[in-house]
This record gives sequence, structure tokens and C-alpha cells, in this order.
Amino acid sequence: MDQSKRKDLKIAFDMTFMQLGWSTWMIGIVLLLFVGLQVFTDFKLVLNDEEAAFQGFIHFIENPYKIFMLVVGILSAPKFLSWFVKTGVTRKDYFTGAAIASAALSAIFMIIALIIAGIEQLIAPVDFVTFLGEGASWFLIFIVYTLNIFVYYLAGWLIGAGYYRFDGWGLLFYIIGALVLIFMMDLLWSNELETPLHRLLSLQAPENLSIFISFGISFVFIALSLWVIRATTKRVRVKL
Amino acid sequence: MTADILIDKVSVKYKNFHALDNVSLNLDREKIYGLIGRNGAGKTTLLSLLASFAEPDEGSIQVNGHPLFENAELMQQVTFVYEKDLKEESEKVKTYLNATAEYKPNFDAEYAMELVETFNLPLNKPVYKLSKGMQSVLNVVIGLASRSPITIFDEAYSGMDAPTREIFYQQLLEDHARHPRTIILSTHLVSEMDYLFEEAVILHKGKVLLHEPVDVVLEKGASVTGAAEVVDEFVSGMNQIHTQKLGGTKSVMVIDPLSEEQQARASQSGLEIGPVSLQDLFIHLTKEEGQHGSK
Repeated sequence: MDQSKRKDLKIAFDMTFMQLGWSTWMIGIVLLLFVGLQVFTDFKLVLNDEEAAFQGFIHFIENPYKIFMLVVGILSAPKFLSWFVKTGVTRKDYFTGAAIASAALSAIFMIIALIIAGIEQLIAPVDFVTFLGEGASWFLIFIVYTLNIFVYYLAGWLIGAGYYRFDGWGLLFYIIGALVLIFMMDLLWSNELETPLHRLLSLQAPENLSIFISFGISFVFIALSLWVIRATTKRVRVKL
Repeated sequence: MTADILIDKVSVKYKNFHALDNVSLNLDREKIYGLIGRNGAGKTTLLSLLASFAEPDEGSIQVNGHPLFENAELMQQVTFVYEKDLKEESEKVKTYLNATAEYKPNFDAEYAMELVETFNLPLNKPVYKLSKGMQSVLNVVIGLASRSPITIFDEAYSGMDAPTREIFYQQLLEDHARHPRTIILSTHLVSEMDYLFEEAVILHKGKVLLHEPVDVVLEKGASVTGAAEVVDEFVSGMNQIHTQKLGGTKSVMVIDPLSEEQQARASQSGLEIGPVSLQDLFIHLTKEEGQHGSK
């Protein structure tokens, strides 16, 4: 036997590039749309002043990134777990590999977005503001957005794993779990809380929440989600 | 690496249905096994345990003395080929083969290409566009070229036409001779494949009915052929499992081993004695009361 039995890093590498390959279409289309809108319309006509301040590319691609990660996350268990186990890889190596790959993909996504945003600033400087406030460092923007995109993969992964293991009931309960995860992240990181659930529970975004608290609670929720995913898929029966 | 498989008191339950019931088997390395059973006998359930698709509800499976499930070292040594649904695989055949090869430590790419040529598998076609027969071929190519110490083919021939199946059987024997490994062939089409098996395992209703070398199995009975009246007289009192008649000639399959004295008497009476076929034995052993007449 000439190969190392440890496969997780190889899986991480393969999955990162495979998913990155899928995303090139999405990024390309979003970029075209963004450039098109910049050239042919005036954002200020479409958006109000406050929203117009967020018109940078990073803000523009944030939601497409999140949706992409959610969808790929949902596919993770039925497609990747199933394929890897059938090819002779352990569930454990798949889990580690997929977790690393999704984190790496989130970071690569943000690097791409930052590069494009940088070019955007060179061509047509805008008053770039994110929800992190004016004057937030690019590094902080990178870290926080990466974290938020990554969490959408986790949410998808939870849903996919729950359904793969427990069918319909799994879908129901794991979707609730995924929603809690996403709402928590919104609560911690966003000052726009306009979802029906937030209104229903009359949740208020804490003002000036310490960034350390936000990071701390985020990591706890991410760790919890990863633990649930691992527990769900640890010994799962792979469908023929 | 070669592999000894020890299946110890394994049971699998689906709700109230016992798919496998206290199955114990010892499969030695480098042999070709025929796993025979009727539909629903538990063949695929047993094989999917060997491929770590699931864990047994009770009992254990060990390979070379180590528990198999989630063992990274052992899992990569198993290749399980079955009627995989490839209708959602949009990659080209070549990409699909390469992706699998990456995770198979003993994969022989050169041999894979040889097989691709032999079977006329189109490399640049997307997998989902392959015909059912060609999808089976792709699965079989992966199974053979992976050269895994434990290679399992579960009804892998389905969809292939007869000449393609023949090529598969031939390649299997040749490659097994070059690279001996444990191969398990599961089938209910026994008559076509019995010459491949070194040992036969018959599974029935989740239990092992028989596990013996094929030559020993075939000595369990005999076929007696000759003039109808002579045959009838010779086999009277014996356990008959199958009768064929053509004009005045009759062939009766019995599952009593014939003594030397009986064999001598048969040749004196001009009767021809042949081996019992695995297929007939399989049908006899697994027939239901009242389905093909009483036992």
C-alpha cells in the first residue's frame, strides 16, 4: 500500500476546487450584473440613500455567496458523503475534509470579492461602508464576511445531513436548527433585523455589541453546528 | 495486502424484517466466492456491510483481525460494484474514472484504459448519457481496475448483453490470476457464472444455507441420464430434485452422493453419471413449500 490512509486533507483540497469550479459561473454572472447596473442605472434611483451607501461589490455579492453556500451545503451529505464512502473513504475523513473545504471556500470567496472591490475603488471610488461601520478595517471585513458565508454552508449541511439520516422529520427539525443558526448570526452581526421572526419575537439588535462577544458566541454556534453534523453522520447508513 | 474476512453472528433488521439473521462466514483471502440467493435473500444487505455502507445491528465484521466499519485503512481496500444509478453524474466518463482512481490505492490506470478499449466504453461521453449496459460496464471497469484486495460485484452484469458479460467473466478470471484477491460475485443467474466460483455461499431468508468449495458442493449429488425405465429403476428411493425427459431419454438430478458400487452398477446399465449443477442445487435448496411442489 503506497498511499497514506489519511484522506481528509486530500478531500479538503478536492472539494474546495470542485466547488470553486461550480462557483465561477455564479461569480461571473453576479459580476456582469454588477458592472451592468453600475454602467446603465443609477443606484440612487432604485435604492434609498441609506441603502445606496452599501452599494459596493462586497455587499452586492454577499447574498449570492450565501445562497450558493446554502445549496452546496445541502448537497454535502447526499452527494459528497455518499460518494466518498462508496469510494472507500471514512465518514470521519469526509467530515473533516468537507469542513476545511467549506471554510477555505468562504475565505477564497471573500478574497475574490475584496480584489474586485479593490479594483472597483480604483476605477470609481465610492464611500464604502459595511454594516461594520465606517472605517472598519479590510481585515475585519474579510473575517466577518467569511464567517457569515461559512455559516450558510453549515446551515445547508445541517439540513442535508438531517434529511439524509432521518428523512422528513430530520428535514423539519434540522431546518429549524439551521434557521436558528442563521438568525443568531444576523442578531450578532447585522443591524438590519427585518425578518418576520425577529418582529414576532420583538428581537432588537443589541446596540454596539462588543465584537469579541459577537465572535465568541459565533464560534460557540459554529462549534455546536459542526458537532451536530458530525453526530448525525458519524455512523449514518449510506444509501445504495 | 490481502484480506481475510470474518463475519461473526451478524444480524440486520429493517423494522420487523430480518434481512440478515445471525450470519457467520469466514472468507479466506484470494478466493473467488459465489454468493447465491433468491431476490430478497439478504445478499445486497450483507455486501453493503462489507463495504461499510452500514453497520450490523448485531454481531461484528473483521478484516485481518480488525473491525471494519469506519476503519480508514481497511475501507480503502474494499470496492463494491453494484447497479449504481449514474443518471445524475454529469461528468465525462474519463473524469469520473479519474476521480475514483484518486481514492483507490491500487488503481491501475493502464489496465483501466485497456478495459475501456476492450468494452468500447466512450471516454468523452457524459456518464448519464451512457446506456444502461454501458453504465454497468463503467462500474465493472472501476471494480476490476481498482484491484482492491476485497472486490465485490453485486449483480454487476445487469444491463450488459451476453457477449459483454462473457468479456467481463474472462477479464475477471485473467486479472484474478495476475493479481489474486478476494472477489465476491453475487448473483441469482447461477448457471452462467458457476464456473467462476471457487467457493459457493447460498443465502436464504437472511441465513447461510451452505458455504462450501464448489467441487464439494457438486459431489453432493449427481445427474443420471439414460433410457427412461432404467433411470427410473436406478433412482427409485433416491432424493430426486429435477427431472428432464426427451423422448425415451430421461435425466434425473439426485442429491444423494453415489457410492462406488452404485456408480459401477450405473455404467453396467449404460447410464451416464454427471455432476449435479449448482443452479439445480440452488433451486432445490431454496424452494418454498408449495411453490415448486413439496420438498
